[in-house]
Amino acid sequence: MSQQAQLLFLKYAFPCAGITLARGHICQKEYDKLERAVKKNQLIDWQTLQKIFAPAFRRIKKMSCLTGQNIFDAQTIRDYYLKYHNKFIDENEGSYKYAPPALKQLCRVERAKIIDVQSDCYIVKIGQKLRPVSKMICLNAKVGDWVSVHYGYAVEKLK
Amino acid sequence: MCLAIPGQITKIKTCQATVKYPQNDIKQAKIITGSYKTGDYVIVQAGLVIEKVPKKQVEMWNKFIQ
Repeated sequence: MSQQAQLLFLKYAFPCAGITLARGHICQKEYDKLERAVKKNQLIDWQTLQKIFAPAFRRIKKMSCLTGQNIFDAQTIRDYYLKYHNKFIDENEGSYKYAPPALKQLCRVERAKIIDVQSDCYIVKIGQKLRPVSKMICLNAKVGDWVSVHYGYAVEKLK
Repeated sequence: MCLAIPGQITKIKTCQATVKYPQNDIKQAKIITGSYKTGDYVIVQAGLVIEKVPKKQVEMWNKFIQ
């Protein structure tokens, strides 16, 4: 179980913790702990992550059944979020069935190009649309870099 | 911190929006990009307006959160 995978999973999953909190599946204290961990690159054990982000793990396990990948590997996590996550949304899997289109749009993980860096956010271009996204999880991106975006957060720089 | 529920813009002054939430909770949020007007429902994250929510979807959104 690589620590790199744990950190990467938290980066990709954290953006939806706001919704998890609003739905009452975690408390404010748990949310604050996740936020602190993602900001400071602190490890949160797999057991806790699997409990809080149970639907994401269920989907990663489904994907790994198809691909034969180890679910506790960083590349598996990245492959899930970049290649499979949106397919689950499109198929209205699990609670996506009850989510409004505008929310499902924000839940998608998109590849975005940074067109401006401001003091409190990046401005990214997704398709033809501009969106401000938080720098909190991915601090050192520059104009022209490609990043993955989940909800209102830039998650990691893409090659 | 992300406010996971839609709020309604009640006022826009230059790029600063006043956003109203249930229980008359009022927040200020900056509009960085996109066109918004008074009456729009929006999602605010870390003090920034990040997305518009069509009025027809607001009820569905609130139900989803409950």
